[in-house]
Amino acid sequence: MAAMRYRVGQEVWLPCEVRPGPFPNEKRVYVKLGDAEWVGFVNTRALREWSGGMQVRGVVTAVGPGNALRVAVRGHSPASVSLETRRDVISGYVGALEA
Amino acid sequence: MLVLSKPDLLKRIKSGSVVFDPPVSPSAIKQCSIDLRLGRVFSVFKPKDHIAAISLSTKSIFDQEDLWDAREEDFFTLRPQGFVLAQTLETVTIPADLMGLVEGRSSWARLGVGVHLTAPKIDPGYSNTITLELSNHGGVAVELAAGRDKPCQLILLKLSTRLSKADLYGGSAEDIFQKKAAR
Repeated sequence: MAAMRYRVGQEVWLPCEVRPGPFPNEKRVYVKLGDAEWVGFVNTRALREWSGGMQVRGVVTAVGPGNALRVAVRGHSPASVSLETRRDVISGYVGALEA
Repeated sequence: MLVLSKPDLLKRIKSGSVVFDPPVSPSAIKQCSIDLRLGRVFSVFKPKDHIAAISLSTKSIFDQEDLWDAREEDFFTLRPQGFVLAQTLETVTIPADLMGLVEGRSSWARLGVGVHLTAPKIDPGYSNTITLELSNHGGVAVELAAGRDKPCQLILLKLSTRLSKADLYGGSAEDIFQKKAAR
């Protein structure tokens, strides 16, 4: 499979787990991509069902050098972190991504 | 950084640069802020006999069972020492060249009611209701009326440089404006 190209500002959908949150329109969300994890609160507008699972919207905030990729999940995280991952890891979810 | 005053607030709202849904009434627009109304969802912590301490730097907050009990109500009684999460009635959409600060009301503070805990900043690109963390530090119960009460005010500040889409909170504010313009 050819490596997918990413650009800063590109929106992506990431596979995630979802649990009830403090409001009907705000859920607890957990994302794990390789070694990278993100936990936080996300508005339901940034979530969708896809291929029997759930996905959360993110945006690419940094690409490279090398294989590195940083994705910000659009939500409130107590740890206030972005997902630091690698292109090859995220490309494993290519079916779950859209430009 | 400039604070938007009433004439600029009116211009921004009229042009669709700042969006409130449902719209705010003209009387809600003050000298340098906009009063926002209380939404109808009130969320309290579920009583728990035993709950492990939550580490905020791990996924333990995700591993907990349901922590909150959210209900849609027209009225909510906030008792002394009580705490409830609520939302603004209005969905607020902030463009890439502004940020917001949500602040409480001095009249509410006189009764001991605080409106938010430590988190007043609304990022550029934000498009959502604003979560309010209401607590009653006073000595009497306070009845909150959804849709009528105005617990907070939003102050809008102009950024020194407009942010790029990648730096926006939601990354979709422009799309929202395009949709509005297309209506």
